[in-house]
Amino acid sequence: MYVPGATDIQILPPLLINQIAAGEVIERPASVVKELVENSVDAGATQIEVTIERGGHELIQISDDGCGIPQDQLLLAMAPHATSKINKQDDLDAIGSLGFRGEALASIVSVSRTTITSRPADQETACQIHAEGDDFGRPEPCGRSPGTTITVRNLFFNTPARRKFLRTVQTEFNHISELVQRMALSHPGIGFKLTHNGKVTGTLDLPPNQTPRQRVLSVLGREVEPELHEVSSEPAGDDAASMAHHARSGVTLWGMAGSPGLARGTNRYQYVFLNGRMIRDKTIMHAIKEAYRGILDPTRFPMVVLYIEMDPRMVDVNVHPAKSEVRFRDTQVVHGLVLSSLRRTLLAADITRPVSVPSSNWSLRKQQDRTEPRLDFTRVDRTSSSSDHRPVPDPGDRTQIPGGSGFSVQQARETVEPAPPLPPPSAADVDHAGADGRNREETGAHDESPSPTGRPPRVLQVHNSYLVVEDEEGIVIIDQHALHERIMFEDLKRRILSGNLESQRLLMPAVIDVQPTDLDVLGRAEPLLTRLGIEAEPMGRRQIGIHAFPSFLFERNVDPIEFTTSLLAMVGQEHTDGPISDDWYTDEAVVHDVLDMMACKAAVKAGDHMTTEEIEALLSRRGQIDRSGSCPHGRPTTIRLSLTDLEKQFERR
Amino acid sequence: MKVICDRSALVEAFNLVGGVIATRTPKVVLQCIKLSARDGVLTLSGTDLEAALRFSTDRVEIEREGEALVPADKLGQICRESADSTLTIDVEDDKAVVRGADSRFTIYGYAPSEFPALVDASKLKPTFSVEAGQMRTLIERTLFATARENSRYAINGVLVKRTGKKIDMVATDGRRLAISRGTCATEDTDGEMQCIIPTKALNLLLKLTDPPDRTIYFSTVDSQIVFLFSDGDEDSTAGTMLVSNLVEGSFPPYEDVVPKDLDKKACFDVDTLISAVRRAALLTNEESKGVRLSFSGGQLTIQSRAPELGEAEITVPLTSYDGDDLTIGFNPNFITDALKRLDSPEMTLELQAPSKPGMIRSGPEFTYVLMPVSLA
Repeated sequence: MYVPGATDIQILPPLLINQIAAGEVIERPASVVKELVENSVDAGATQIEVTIERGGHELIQISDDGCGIPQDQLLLAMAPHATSKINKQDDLDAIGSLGFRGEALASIVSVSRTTITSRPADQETACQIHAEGDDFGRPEPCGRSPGTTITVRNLFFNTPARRKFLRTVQTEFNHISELVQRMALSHPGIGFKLTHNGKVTGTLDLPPNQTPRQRVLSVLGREVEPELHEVSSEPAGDDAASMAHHARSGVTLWGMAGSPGLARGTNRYQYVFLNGRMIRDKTIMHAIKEAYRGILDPTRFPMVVLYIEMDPRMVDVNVHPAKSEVRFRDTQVVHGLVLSSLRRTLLAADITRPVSVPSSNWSLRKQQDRTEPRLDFTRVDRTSSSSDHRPVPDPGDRTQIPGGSGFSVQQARETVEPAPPLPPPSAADVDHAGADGRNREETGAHDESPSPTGRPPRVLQVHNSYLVVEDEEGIVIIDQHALHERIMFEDLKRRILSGNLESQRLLMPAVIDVQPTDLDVLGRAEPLLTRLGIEAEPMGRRQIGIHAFPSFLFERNVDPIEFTTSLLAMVGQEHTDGPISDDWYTDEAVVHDVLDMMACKAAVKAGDHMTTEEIEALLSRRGQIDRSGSCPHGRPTTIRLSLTDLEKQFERR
Repeated sequence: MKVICDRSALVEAFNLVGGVIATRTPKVVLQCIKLSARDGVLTLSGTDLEAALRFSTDRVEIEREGEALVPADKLGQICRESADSTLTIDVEDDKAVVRGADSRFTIYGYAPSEFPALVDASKLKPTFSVEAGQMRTLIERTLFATARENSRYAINGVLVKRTGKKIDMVATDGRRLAISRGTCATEDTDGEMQCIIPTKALNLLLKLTDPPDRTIYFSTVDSQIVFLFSDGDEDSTAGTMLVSNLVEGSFPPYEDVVPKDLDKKACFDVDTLISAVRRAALLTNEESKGVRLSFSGGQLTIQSRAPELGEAEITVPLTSYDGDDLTIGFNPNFITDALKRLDSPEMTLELQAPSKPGMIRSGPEFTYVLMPVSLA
């Protein structure tokens, strides 16, 4: 664009260059905190204190006990493209530090009033330097223990455009708090302390030398502990082949995965750390989503913390200035590792959701100037029978977790409607479970405990939709449709993995009217249809004749025409090119959805009356199948109201 | 209206008419039973607008003729709970007072004119009649094979097809087809009639097939079928009457489905085969419903297998077998459903190939086509 009077090309003054660079790196106070905390981490600090005034508009101060900056290099540290972290091109191929670009400090200095006070351990006194835009002061000696303090005041004082975009104090502080949490999660060995307007925030006063597990619980809140399950790339069993494989691939993983009840509407509570760096990677997000497929509504995001360690040479972090995007040399290995590790954990865990009942005497907490009702996280039963034959991750020694006084989970889990009041089962109805003589002999114990055969002692069907049973911890409420759907889904999946479904032939073909494109879908989906027990052939260009249909769908009164029509529509939409495989492993998404549709149509519906035998049959299967805690869409099948919850409701405690 | 009624007659009436009355309907008059006392007979009528049943009894003493419309469930419960041998029903101003030896109930009813008008039986001209005992057999051998819903064909009812003095009833659910044949009495020996009767009406009709020698008269008017009943020589038009809407739509061309080229034929003792199939069915489950029938060396072996449950194998002696060896899968319920409705001790099963239909026959009166299942 031609601008009169601005035709001469000229080299920009250094301040402007730095301000332009700052535009990329320094977006808001939280970006300053990020860059400076990363510097502290790279400096080998064991304790980092972050002090904020007015959401960082006023003051951002980071103090550490790291290696410090020698007196003679203070000025140089503020220059652009000056860094101690790398010094030759080869270093770029294997970056081990968080920072390396040499841009951050220069950028910050260019848009604020910055003071650096630093003392390397071998230097007798500290030295301070002040800078304001491009006006650098002279280093002056002062007193400080070894380490560095960087004070940033009046951010964007000289770039009004930027300043205008700053949000409210609370919003900016929330960003900072979130960032410090991430940094704290990524470095469990480093102590963190975050202060806002002179007050220490509860969740962010973390001692140094925590184990990853301790750190996760301290940051996310001890309350969520029962619903977090350990994830590890090393299976608890003797899966030597798999271990060897991952050892060869040079990638290891540890983390914690939340029950579906902890899931949120955003991915904010998915923390993925690669070699100590928080990243957002599509491959890993996808693997997480896949792992939760079928136990969580796909529009929600599970709470997950993952620590991935790999050879720095296998990943490129120099993709974007903010460094949250990375490029893996081998995406498949990472995806596979995350998926298989999470799956193993989720299969072994009991993810029955506790009911969240608004407590009558709400304990209020004050966090970030807001008050929110405190969460009631109830303990979840870990001893589901499905875990008997599966490796269960060692829950670790919970008694030794220090600190973690507060918690940071911002919202309650998905609120479950409080159960309607139920008539108590009369004592005369009690059909004592221990009646099975063998069990009584073996356990020699309580008649009250549900028998290990899974037969519930007493069941109530409410509004022909929900089943209410008693267990050791209180009341379990089951959505009959959701549970039956899950059972059918798992049965179907097992069946199609071992062969074709049994199919019933028709006297005369059931005819569907279709579009010519459906014929194409039909052709591509043939292996899948055969596997499902559907035999369908084109009849001309506008019709499809169904000659055979799965027996069990007939038994459940599913109409072949309606079902096959929906199936073709769904498969055609999801799978737009190439042949559709009948293999669970290649076309899992499509096969999953098709089986889900079968299970959904075939399952008992809400509002269907069930006989006692049917209820017993349903409940006895509950303990036998995987992922019985949620239906294939990911909604919960079962929620629990514990005795503790009841006692709270009745104000007994 | 005031009647003194034999209580057991009232209970019988409520058991029959109650089967028609809609229990969940926003229209309260459809939850009512209409009482009508005239000419020494008490008639009780109920309808859900799809079917209507009028039941009449002469076990009544009429003190004052008249009509009443009363909620059926309450009046029925009062009759059933009572221990009296007779009850007096006295209706004035839409209010029914029911008196027993020690009791008095007042039930608020509705104006009898609100009850939908039923077909006028005296204007009907029945075209043919079937003996109740035979009607029972015709219904029992077909009703079980109807479908609940089908979008293409009207198969949620039983096809009745009269050709002269022959009457066929046919039912299918798309996987099996039952044809039951009988005879009717008619003056109109060249006439034909074809209609589809809903299953609900046939279930009601089954209850009205006692005594077996009673005569059931068929009439069709508009899109309804009307059954009138006569025990002995009495006038059928005044007594019990069942009216039902017909199922609209077309019945599939069932003659095309009856196979004609079956080259393997096995003869069985009915009870032996029922027992064997039932036992084999013990080790099937919802997803693996089928049993495997293997005809080999003049013997039948029935096998079943339910994954993670177990397996069964039963050998069945054949009365005779004609044809090559064959293995075919069937839903065991499809076999037993038909067999348990046979009254002769022998039956034949004709087959052709594992993916082709099988046919069960017992005499000329019963033909049953069933489609196989693929076995995993």
